[in-house]
Amino acid sequence: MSVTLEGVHKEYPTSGGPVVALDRVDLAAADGELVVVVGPSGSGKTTMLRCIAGLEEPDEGRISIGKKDVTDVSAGERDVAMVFQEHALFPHLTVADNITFGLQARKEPGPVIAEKLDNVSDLLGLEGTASRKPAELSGGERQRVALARAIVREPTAFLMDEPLSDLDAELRAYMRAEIHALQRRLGTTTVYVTHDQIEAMTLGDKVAVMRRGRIEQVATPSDLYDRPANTFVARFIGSPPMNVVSAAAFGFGVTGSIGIRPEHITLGSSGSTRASGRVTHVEMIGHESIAHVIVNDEVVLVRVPRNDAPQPHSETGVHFADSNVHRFGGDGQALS
Amino acid sequence: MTSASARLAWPYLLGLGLLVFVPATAAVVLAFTDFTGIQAPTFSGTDNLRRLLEDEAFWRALGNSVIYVVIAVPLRLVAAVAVALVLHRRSFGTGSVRAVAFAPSIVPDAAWALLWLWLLNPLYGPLALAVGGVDFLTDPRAARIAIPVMSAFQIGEAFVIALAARSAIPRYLYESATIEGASPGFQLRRITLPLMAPVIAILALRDVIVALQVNFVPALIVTEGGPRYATTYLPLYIYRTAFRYFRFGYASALSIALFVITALVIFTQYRLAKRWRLL
Repeated sequence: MSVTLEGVHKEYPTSGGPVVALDRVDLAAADGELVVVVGPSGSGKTTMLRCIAGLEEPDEGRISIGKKDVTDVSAGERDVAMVFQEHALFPHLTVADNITFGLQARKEPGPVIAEKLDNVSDLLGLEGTASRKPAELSGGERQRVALARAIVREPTAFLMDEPLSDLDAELRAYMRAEIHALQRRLGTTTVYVTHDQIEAMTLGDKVAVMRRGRIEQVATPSDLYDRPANTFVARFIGSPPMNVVSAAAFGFGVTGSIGIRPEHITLGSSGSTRASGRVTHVEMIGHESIAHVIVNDEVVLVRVPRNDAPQPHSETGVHFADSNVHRFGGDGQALS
Repeated sequence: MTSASARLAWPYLLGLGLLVFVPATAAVVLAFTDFTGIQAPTFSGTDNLRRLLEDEAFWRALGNSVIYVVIAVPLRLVAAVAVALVLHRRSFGTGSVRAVAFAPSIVPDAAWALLWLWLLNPLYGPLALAVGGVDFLTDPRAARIAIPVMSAFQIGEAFVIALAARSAIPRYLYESATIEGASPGFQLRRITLPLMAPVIAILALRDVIVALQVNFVPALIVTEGGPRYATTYLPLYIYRTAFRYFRFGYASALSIALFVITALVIFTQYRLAKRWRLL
């Protein structure tokens, strides 16, 4: 079922006056879609997820699941499942009891619970762990139990709050692929919150970029990368980030800024150069290197092949094609 | 132990030795003597032990103590945990209410006993009048209930420990349970109490030790061990044997008996808690 937020607003009182956590947010996840909400910490993404779950009450706005307005429906009756960053497994219960906690709470009959437990254990490869306690599991197994617990209730939507952030890099990449495959297989609408833009780009059908309680842009991962709506999105998506420099420095008018991705710039003194700069240092990151070049007092990052990296402290020409230039107005918004 | 910390430990060890181990050893030795405090103690072998086994007053005092523990410990535990669960959330005024819940524990025992002596007075005591003329001070059954009930309000330390245990349970466990449709009662049964169980078990162990001893002051001041010996608990019986009847040898034997009984109860409780995987 779809999940829709319309004009959802939430403020928290603090000693220094109210803080806006969500600033009239609109977001829609279509039935079966995986929408990733990404943003720096404090951008309001977790608050948004908690509002959808019913753990927080919005001050204004409407939240619907399917065609039903659930704004005033209690968390337990929204029929969504949430996977927490901390996994939220009960340390004193076995894997089986953890997975079936919600079914037991809803007093489902024993045989039904046993069958569902079997199915979901099968699906997630948790056979043989049923009688173990969370402390006896590896990080990946704990993560799978948390997922199994969400899946077993067959909810209308999954809400995931940075579910992979406690895992090490290797396991994170593996579980990311697993979550993606699982979501495709089950076809359950999912809202997934992360601060990791790589996770956002690889997982999302759609990605919403948040900053300071507002959604800056909602788009497919490739649109987000190719057509960022403003300088914040341009810098946030992509690693290393897009170079956003003053337009005047590169002869593109007098106001606003321009953005060029590090892979769209080449260095070298031959041919017609757009500008010249000085290489300050070069970072080797494996198959390629990132050169830091100072052009008209602005730092520009350039992806260069590892074997073709310039010497630090050398002077070089900077080349790029007009078609790869993103233009932004004085307010930081993209110019069409 | 480094030499500096050893130096710091000396005063403590000295105090422990002089004030605890020496008297305790003396009590063990005196338990095998006849000693009135006037003449020098004379060795009497196991006379005191034999006398103890045949002493009706001892068995009655032991029975009274058991009744006290059976009523007081569950009452105090339930009160401490319940108050902690109600007051663990921080909201307006919680701090003051927590202070109120703790307050009876800082009232001196003698003052607390005098307060209850007034509350339970059959002629003008508000509590006695409120429950329709039950005479707590002359009816043995009522007195057996009144004394443990008095102690159920002095739960300060247990309350603070239970509060800390409840606060240590992460909020996301409750949030995830709420999303899964678990009612507050289900959450209490399946999350809160099991996760607090080890702490509750420790509190129970500790409270049994305390309960076998703290009834001395209320029994002495409020009921004077009566009516009809109904509140003559072991500590009061030992005190009277020693300081009213000057039978220090026999009182020492009674003290050793109380020590052994406490140790046996604690050992049994500990084994049970281990078997139920609470500790």
